[in-house]
Amino acid sequence: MNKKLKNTILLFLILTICLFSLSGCYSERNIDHLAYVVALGFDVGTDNKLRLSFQISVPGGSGDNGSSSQSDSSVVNTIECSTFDSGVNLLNSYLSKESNLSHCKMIVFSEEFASNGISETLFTLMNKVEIRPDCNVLVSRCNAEYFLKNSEPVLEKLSARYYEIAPTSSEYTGFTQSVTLSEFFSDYNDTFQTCYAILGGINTSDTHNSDSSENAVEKDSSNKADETLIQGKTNIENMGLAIFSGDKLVGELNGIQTICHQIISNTLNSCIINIPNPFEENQTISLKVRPIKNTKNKVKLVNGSAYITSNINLEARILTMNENSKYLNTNEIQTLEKSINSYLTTQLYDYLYKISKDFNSDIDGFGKYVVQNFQTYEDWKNFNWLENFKNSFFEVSVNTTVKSGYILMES
Amino acid sequence: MNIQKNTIITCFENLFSYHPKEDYQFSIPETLEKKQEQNYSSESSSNLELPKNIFPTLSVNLEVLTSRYNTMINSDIIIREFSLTAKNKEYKAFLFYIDGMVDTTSINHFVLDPLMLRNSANTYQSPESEVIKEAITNNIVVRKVKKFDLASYIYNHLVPQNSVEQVDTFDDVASGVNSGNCALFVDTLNIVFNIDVKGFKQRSVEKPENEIVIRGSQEGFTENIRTNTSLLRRFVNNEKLIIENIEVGNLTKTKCAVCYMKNIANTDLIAEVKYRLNNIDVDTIISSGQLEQLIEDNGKFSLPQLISSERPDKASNFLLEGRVVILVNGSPYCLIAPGTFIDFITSPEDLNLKFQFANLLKIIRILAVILTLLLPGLYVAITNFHQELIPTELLFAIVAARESIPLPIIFEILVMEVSFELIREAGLRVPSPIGPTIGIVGALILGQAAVDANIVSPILIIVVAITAIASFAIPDFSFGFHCRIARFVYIAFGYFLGFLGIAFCLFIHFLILSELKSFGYSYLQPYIPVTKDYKGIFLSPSWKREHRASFLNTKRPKRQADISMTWKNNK
Repeated sequence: MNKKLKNTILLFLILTICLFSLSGCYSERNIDHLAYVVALGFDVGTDNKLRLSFQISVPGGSGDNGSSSQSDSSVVNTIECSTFDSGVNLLNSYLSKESNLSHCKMIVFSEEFASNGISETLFTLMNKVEIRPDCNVLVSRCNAEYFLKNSEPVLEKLSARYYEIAPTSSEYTGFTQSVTLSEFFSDYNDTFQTCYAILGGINTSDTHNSDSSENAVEKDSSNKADETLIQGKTNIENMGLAIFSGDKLVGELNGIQTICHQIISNTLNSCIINIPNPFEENQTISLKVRPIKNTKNKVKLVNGSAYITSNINLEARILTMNENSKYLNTNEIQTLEKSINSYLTTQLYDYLYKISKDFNSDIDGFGKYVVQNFQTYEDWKNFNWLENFKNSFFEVSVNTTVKSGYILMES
Repeated sequence: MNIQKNTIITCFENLFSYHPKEDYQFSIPETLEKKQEQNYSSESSSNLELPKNIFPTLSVNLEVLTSRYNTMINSDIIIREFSLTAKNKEYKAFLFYIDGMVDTTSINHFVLDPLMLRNSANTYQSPESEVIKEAITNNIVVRKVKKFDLASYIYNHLVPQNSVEQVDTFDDVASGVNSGNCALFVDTLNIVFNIDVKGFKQRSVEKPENEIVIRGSQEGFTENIRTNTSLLRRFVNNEKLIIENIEVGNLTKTKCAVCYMKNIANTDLIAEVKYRLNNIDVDTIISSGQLEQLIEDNGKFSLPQLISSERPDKASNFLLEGRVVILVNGSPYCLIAPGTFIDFITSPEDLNLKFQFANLLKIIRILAVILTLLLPGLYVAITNFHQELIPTELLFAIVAARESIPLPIIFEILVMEVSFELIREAGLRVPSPIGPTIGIVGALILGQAAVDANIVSPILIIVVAITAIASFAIPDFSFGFHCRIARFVYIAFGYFLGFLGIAFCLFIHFLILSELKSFGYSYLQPYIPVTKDYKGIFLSPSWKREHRASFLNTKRPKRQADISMTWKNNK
């Protein structure tokens, strides 16, 4: 046979085989045919086991003139179903487009759902290829459907971006911590520590903290999500952490406790705390605090219970000023350092005994230090640290260096 | 049933199984070639009857030329008959030249004047024959005489021209006359004087228009091969620059010049270039583009395998690097052999700039190649198969923009790519006064209208525009063409197979690139295979470029001393 013809036929055959039999034509998922879920909500259903909410983004929904305005509106669909995947299936039969979870930014569990145990849901979510391990996990103080329906971004146009940015506020407030699904999952499976999630809520005037018994100093940072007195458009507020023991929600931390958690676990960037003014009564001083050294945790086993010492080094910069402030004076600075140390020590003891005695949940991962005392994995398992954590006792030493404020009043 | 099966099997075997070649040829088949040649030229056997050598009789010569040049109908062929005077004797003669190709003043003053007018040179009457030696023995005078030689007399005394050649065949006469010389036929002589009086109109040396640089020479090659060689000579300024002439084309006998540095270029490379040029059996060569296609190693792929340039400074740089430059008469583009991949994304400006600038530009150009090849393909692949790869906000922007577009993405992108190619092609064709209009009408109005009418999405316009801009950033025209063609293949594969298809296509592309050779040199040199002086992708500082590219195997591997800046490091 003619060689040229042979080559042509060969090339044609190879191309045909490649293009059609190898082809992914059938796995084609065109962007036009997909509905993008940006957030998932889990509630306890009435009849069935599960009440699933999907927040689906409608890109360019307002779309006047077909121009590419990026503002999107989103719709929330709620489905009663027995399992997560059957819920997705039901959603697909209901929507005109195929739902796609690969752009899901936030997974919201309601408090009720979380207290019932989320182990099965967690493993199912991790098993789902479409869900990214880096989406945030949040426990809402209201139910998840309500949370999703009211999470209207005010400053952003895209709700997906809103979900992505909102948890990053923890980097400069310290009031909460960004927790991703993969971190949550790995903490859950760990024998060293337990898992925790972002605590969120919808801030409305009904939910505001009306408890006026607390003193003014702690008022700001002792709030949990949705309690802060903010007047504005109904909005998500992320503040505090939801603490799990095993797969069940056992308690919540408020703002200052979350700061303590981050100081102990070395995840704090910087934060602002208020302390009582040692020089004037009924006054508070705001300080910008950041760690200068990593916190050193040491654990000794004493009679089967852990004796945990934490050595904390912080730097504080004075933010509150008045005309009587004499922060260039060494004595005044030392007085201030002392009162910061004592304030933080109290808060840290409160926090540590709260997580150990009240919640019995080692969210700081002290287990990592305890494990050094065991020679085999069997011994460690038999010791059952996560159960034993409640017997721990703590010693905290805080060492703060105060730097003066930014303005110089004396020269 | 069984028979059918067997036939199918044999059919497939015939298709795919390996069949060794039946006749191996380990030597150059001279006999075969000659046979073919004879067959080929026998078609025009009537030409063979033409006389070869010049006749001593003037009228016969005149007749031969009249018939050869069809002077009765050919309007610009001039035959000027006259009588020339030599040693006071008159000889019949004629001049033969082509009007428009010669400088008439030169002919008047330096050919006809001295031959026809009576002056001291042609009226000088020496004895009939010059006595060289005289001996008288027994009253008999024996004289050794030199006979009067008309040819040498004319050559030595009567034609005050710098370039005069004596030829004795009609073919030589024709080739001289065709290139603008004039032929002087003299009665009784069977040789012809081929006098150089070229004087046709030609373009002067101008700025190169298609390879623009900011810092660098602003001279470009012209159509005249002599001007071009002189440009090269001026840049190289060394007598080791050899410029060999080779004629290509059976009918046109186009003059091609093979230029190389005798003390640098590899002998095998020179031999290969000359071998290929000498063994082209075609009737016509008009431009270097035609020649390029005839001497490149592999014509199947759209990749350029010879560098073409209109810049003598670029050509000289390559000459001094050890490469061979081929000039073609009538073409303002030279060819440089061998051409490797990296040469096509190198601008002649790179050497004139500081190495940091040059490297930045190099990165940008590599990026441009990647963008122009892959961007539309990637866009199609991502939107069809891999939406999870796009950042969410970008995805929503794309989806929002596509909301009311009726066409599928593949169709959208093909429409835009094809219309862009149309604009590009149309932009070349329109007369220059309205040239800019096509850009405005095509790109701005059409694009805007298409977006407003919801035919294409604005994101796609951005994709196509970036691709287009990137394709213009590629310095070599032919390589840009290659990218334009390959882009469509990538779009097709991206559409059918997603990233798998693009990876597959890239694999094949690399396979082709690594398999390709230019004059025996691997196309991806010096990167694949890596040579010993390989210094990475980037250009090293000027003082560090001690070696010529070692893959070229030059005779002078070092181009500068280890310490080139002796003023600074003189110990």
